[in-house]
Amino acid sequence: MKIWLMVAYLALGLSMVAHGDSNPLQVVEPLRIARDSFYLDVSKFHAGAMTERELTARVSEQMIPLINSKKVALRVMGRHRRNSSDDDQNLFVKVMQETLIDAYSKGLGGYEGERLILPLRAKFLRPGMAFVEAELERPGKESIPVQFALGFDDTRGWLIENVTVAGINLGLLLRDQFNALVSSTGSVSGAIDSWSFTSVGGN
Amino acid sequence: MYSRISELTVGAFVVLGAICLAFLALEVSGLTQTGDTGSYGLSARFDNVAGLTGRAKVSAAGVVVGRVINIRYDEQTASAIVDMEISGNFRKFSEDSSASILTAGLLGEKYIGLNTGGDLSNLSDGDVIYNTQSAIVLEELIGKLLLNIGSDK
Repeated sequence: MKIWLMVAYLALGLSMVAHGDSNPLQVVEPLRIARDSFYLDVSKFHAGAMTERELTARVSEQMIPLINSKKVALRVMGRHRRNSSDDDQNLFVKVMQETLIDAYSKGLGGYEGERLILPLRAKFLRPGMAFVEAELERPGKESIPVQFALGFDDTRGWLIENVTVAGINLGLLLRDQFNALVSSTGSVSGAIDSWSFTSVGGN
Repeated sequence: MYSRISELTVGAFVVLGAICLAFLALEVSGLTQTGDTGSYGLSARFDNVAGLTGRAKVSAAGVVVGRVINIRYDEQTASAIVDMEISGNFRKFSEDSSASILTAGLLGEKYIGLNTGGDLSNLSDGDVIYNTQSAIVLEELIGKLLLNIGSDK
């Protein structure tokens, strides 16, 4: 009986993976859930039901699982990844996660009621790679186009791998900053040590 | 006799000048053949390729490694696909390489800059680069600047 249950569970799991891999609606869904949850948390914060610290923690909790931090970090390291040790790479993945959390908390401080408009479905570039063309509506200002590049992970589903804001590829911008830090510090470990949100122009 | 020599000299200079002009035109337009037989094809997807033309240079770290051979529009993703021919001497572009549309010189000639990543496997014939930085359109930039100035007032 237990074996049958296990087989049924595996079959269900596999069909979900196959479905999720090719369904353009399913690519957008995690983004939609995170966005709606963010609006709910922000309204609680404004109503005084949540502190700023709690809000930052909640947003990090919601957003970090949506991002393929390892892939993002290794891409930012670019060509320097080839000359770096495994320890350096693991450390930079951790540092990158902290950078993203720091970016969120700073973003929350400057939040002025912007709304992220998501499309119904994503566009596929090839199997396992899609992008979502969204728009950030800003009260009293021009909207900004935001493009999320997502990749399919067999265990975690669709994850954000890059973001392009108003035509600027943030992944490449960070890679340039990492290159500059390696040049100025003279080593990959030096660049990782001096990497922070402010060093990448996020202040 | 003297006049004939000077006429011949002037004629030779004119022919030499014409040859130099033709060479210059071919170099600038990118029509010269590299004679590289082991080249391979890569493509890159861009949201905007404004100003990029066929035969534009493809460079990596400032070194010309190939040429643009075709620019087409992909209706499914509403983006531009740029097909490039890369010299067989340059094969070590990692799978996470990026491509950016950059501007060179006073005339604003657009070219593609390839930036290799750190992935251990390399791009091969027919692969597509998705990690790209599109061309910056000056009109859009000025429009955004004016709107931001207007909204800050």
